[in-house]
Amino acid sequence: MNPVWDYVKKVEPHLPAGQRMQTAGALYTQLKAKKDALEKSLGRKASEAEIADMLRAEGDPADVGARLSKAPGEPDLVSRYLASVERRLPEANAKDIVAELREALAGRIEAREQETGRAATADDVAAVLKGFGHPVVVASKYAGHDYVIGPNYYPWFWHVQRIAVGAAIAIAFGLVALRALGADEPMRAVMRGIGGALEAGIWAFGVVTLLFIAAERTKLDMKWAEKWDPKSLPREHFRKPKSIFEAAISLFFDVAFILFWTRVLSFPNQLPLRDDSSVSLVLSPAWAVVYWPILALAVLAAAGHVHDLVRPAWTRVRSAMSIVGYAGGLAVLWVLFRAGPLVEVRPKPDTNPEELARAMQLVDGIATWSLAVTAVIWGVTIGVEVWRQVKATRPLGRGAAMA
Amino acid sequence: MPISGDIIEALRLELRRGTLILAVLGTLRTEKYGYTLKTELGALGIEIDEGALYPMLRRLETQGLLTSEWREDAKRQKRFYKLSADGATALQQLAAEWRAMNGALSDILEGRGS
Repeated sequence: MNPVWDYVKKVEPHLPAGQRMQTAGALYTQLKAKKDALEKSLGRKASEAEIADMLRAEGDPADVGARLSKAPGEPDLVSRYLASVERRLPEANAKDIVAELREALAGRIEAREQETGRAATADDVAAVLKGFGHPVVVASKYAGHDYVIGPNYYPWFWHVQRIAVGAAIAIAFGLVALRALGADEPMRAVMRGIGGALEAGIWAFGVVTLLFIAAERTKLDMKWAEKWDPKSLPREHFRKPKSIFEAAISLFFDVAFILFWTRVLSFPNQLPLRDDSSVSLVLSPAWAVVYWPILALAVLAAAGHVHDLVRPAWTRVRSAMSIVGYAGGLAVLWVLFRAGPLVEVRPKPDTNPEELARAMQLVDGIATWSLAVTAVIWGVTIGVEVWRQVKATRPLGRGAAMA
Repeated sequence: MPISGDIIEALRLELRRGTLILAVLGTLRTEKYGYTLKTELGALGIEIDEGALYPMLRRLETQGLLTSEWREDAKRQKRFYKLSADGATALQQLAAEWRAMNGALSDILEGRGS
């Protein structure tokens, strides 16, 4: 049983909600000190009646609450303004800052009263507060950081977003679509891939944004950004980099091919015939010789497309990857071409021999022609790529500077 | 096309931002509280928003350039600010920087030395 505490509890509902705890606490401390002083002067513990007398002298709890709700003589608008600022201040020194602002505002209002020659009206006070600034703005200036992502970090923000969102979209699209490929029809697999990619993109954007906000808050050291070599800048005046979409699609097909090649995935290999039967096509033993080279080339191609996503520029390394890839591809084609039939047609027991011969001729023709056309395309591509490299290494000046 | 007022205003604010701190530090070689600091600067033609002045004073104090104390003045508790010893050193360095820049700018703006 603590009569002082009971009294404070009666005052509490009359205090402004925002500062109820603090004000009530302060009142309790104050009354407790009074009671202690009383007991000291009495030289003994105060009786219940004596404490009740002391508390009665304080006044009606509602009046005390109203009195404590605002500083003496402070207009209601100022209290509301200060409470609004205080809510947004760092807790450690909020009280101190508010006390200073209260004094500053009182000074302003007084100055205005001297100007107008009359007591300040609510409009006068409102004008002073307006001149001081919105509570959100005033409080934010005490926070010590003006930016969510400031000028030191902002230039890198979109650069990193591009890489992160691009990679997330490509990887998610690849993974989701591949997982769906086996089970569903292709369209649904693609739609699911797009949904997964969008979700991953949004996540990546959010995570990168949070990391940048954290960097700004902690004033992360950006000295590493000064370590860059102008010589490694992409040669964009020779060749535009691949778009994220292009690179992502290429990567998707690379991964699909690697999975097919390593037999993680299988695709239908039935060729329908005119007699309503079908034959299955399988790769001939000629391919076994180049199994590892082809896998290596596919991985190289995938690495190149990952490079395009992460660093979309035709650097010397990227061009070299491309040239090596196509040259390796040509070598593989040459081996295959010399090794003979590329595809074996496996007949079913009841297949008409005539139909079978026709199917074999057709398949072999298509395969040979495909190889020849591919070889020509790759040959030309290598030529162009090498020519670009030669042109790019020529000293800037005459031709290159004009391009 | 004439330059818009907004652009001029933005440039003006940018130009003033750094010099305000110098003005505040210089004025606080003698102790003052917020309101007199503002009016004193205003009388010299340097207007500063109070909503910006008080946070700036706090920041400068946190950085150790100012010291402050609560004291009663004209029957009200006021927070008085004064340049600290570190602040005086900083002011000296900043003032030298300012004078050098001012000299260079004068030369440029008046077309000398080019």
